[in-house]
Amino acid sequence: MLEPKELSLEVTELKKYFRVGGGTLKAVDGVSFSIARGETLGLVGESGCGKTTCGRTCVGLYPKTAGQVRYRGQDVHRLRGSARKAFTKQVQTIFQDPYASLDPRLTVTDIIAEGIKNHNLCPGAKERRERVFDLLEQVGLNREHASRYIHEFSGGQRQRIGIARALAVDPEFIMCDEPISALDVSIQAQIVNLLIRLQRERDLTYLFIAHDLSMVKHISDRIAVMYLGVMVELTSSEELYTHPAHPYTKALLSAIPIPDPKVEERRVRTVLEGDVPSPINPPQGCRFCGRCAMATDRCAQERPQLREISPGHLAACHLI
Amino acid sequence: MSDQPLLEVKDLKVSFHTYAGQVQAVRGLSFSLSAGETLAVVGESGCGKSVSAKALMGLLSCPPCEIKPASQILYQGKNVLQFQEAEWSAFRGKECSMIFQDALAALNPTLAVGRQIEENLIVHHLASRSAARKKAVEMLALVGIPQPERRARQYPHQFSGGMRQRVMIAIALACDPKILIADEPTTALDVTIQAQIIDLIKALQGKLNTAVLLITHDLGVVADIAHRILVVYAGRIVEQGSRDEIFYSHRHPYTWSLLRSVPRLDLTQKEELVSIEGTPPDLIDPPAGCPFAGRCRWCMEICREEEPPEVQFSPGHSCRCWLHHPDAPDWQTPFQRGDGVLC
Repeated sequence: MLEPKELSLEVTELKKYFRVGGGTLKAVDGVSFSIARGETLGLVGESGCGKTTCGRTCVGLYPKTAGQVRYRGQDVHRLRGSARKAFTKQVQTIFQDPYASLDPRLTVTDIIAEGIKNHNLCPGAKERRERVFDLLEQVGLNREHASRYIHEFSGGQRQRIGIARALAVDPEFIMCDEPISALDVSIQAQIVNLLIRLQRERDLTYLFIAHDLSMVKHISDRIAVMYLGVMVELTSSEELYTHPAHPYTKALLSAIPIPDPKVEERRVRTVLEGDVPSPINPPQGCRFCGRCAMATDRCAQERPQLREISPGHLAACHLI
Repeated sequence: MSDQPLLEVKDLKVSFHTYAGQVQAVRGLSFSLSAGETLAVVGESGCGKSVSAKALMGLLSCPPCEIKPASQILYQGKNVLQFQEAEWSAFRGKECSMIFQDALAALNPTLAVGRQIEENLIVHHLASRSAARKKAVEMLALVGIPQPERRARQYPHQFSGGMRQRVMIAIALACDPKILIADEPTTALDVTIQAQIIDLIKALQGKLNTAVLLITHDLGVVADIAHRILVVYAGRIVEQGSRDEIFYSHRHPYTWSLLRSVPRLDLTQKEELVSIEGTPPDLIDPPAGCPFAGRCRWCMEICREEEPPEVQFSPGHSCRCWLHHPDAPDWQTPFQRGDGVLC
């Protein structure tokens, strides 16, 4: 990025802990990043690394434990009254599971128009209906679908309704929480192409959470890699795939199978041993230390900080 | 690999009776599987790949399901569809076993995992109780579970997702089956764990010479592990061939779009993904012609009217598409066309 862009979301040292039976679950433990307007930041990591919690805390769906999230300069967790309402119009979410996140007792029109009504964006019922039709067409459905219920649709169509619902209030920022992982391969491409097209048309900003790295690379400008509640690497998507710095990123990339047998045969794979440790009482030093082949004594003692290793490329590892 | 295939499926047709009508989930599937071979069945959800696997194991409950009488599944020359219950019991788990997608749902939550592995050996009279216990611990060690003696006494909920999947593999392989059916074994897992499981299946296959029938929608996994590939769409095989034939000289528009609908990690330029517009056809009332016609960019009139014949390109590589017919218009397509032999 050559010109300095207006910042959309700024996250500093965000922490989110949950109290559970066995102690404190440190789901997000000091994460900092920022997203410029019109940019897509991909957030990747294995299940249980805290990426969904991070996303949800950023858009104010969870209260934070510590740190700060600022959306266009305002502290997201201190918004009250009309400022809070304006924020909920500007920031929308597309959830992972369209089966669970859309109300089965409402028609598609009711689901999509709910936000429009709440924010009083379209006073007349007739205009509102037109707007719903318009939204349905934008996401590749048609007006006959408007009076149906959610159970009458396939998974891909439901996800499109979820997207139409998010777009209804004309947001600036959309948090996409694994919007494609519940879908079939051929449908995934439809949804990703749709999201890219909408971003171009409406200058949207995305926080794109997923565990599918190849899809994230396709859609994101920059990518943040999380491991056990902390961020281990943050850089542009090209740089991440061409010069991954952190040993975890390297292992994660090498684990992804490439749909090309000749390339696949030549690849040397570093297979990670074991599983992600529990985020309840995580390791003292580097979180990745237990699975890292190159770990030293220092890694077990001291937690590495995220620092710039080359312009625009941040990584948290003692060995770099 | 011996010449005689271990398993031969001929014209398998499976339907389900529902209130809405008869859903024709599998509409004439034929393939064979040899010892030591990995055959991948690739397709979208609802294309009938899991149903065929369940039919092989006799796990479909009839009714509501109906396996058409002309269907044949020959295991070493015997038709398993005519098995009595006792024969099924001897077949399942010993000759042919299965790894399911959701390990938590497939394992018994009230039994220690060691017991679940022993059960298989004891039911098939392959070992005494004490020998079975020893073997269970060995199996857990074989699939890479640390501290197998201690872990054998634990319950499924005490294992992580990847570990549970390993336990399932241990159960499936305990009796040295000749065929292993893996129904989306890694779909619910993270990539790092997926890599572990795929390497494990590959290593065990090399050691035990098991035939693996891998059902998946992940083409990356297929590129890594499969020898041959069947591409299934709406209950039919649209293309089949060796791994390299399917990846590098595919002949069917569906295979072409499927391969280009996933972004490639190793390529730098961002090209738009090929999206297959629309959804698969309704199998209650399947279309008369080619099932893919409604979503195909090169659809012709005949595609909607008549089923395309099978065209053979090399021994083992065949495809069903009208574009390969000598009379088809001379369109430019991104995949190879023509020069096949009509069967």
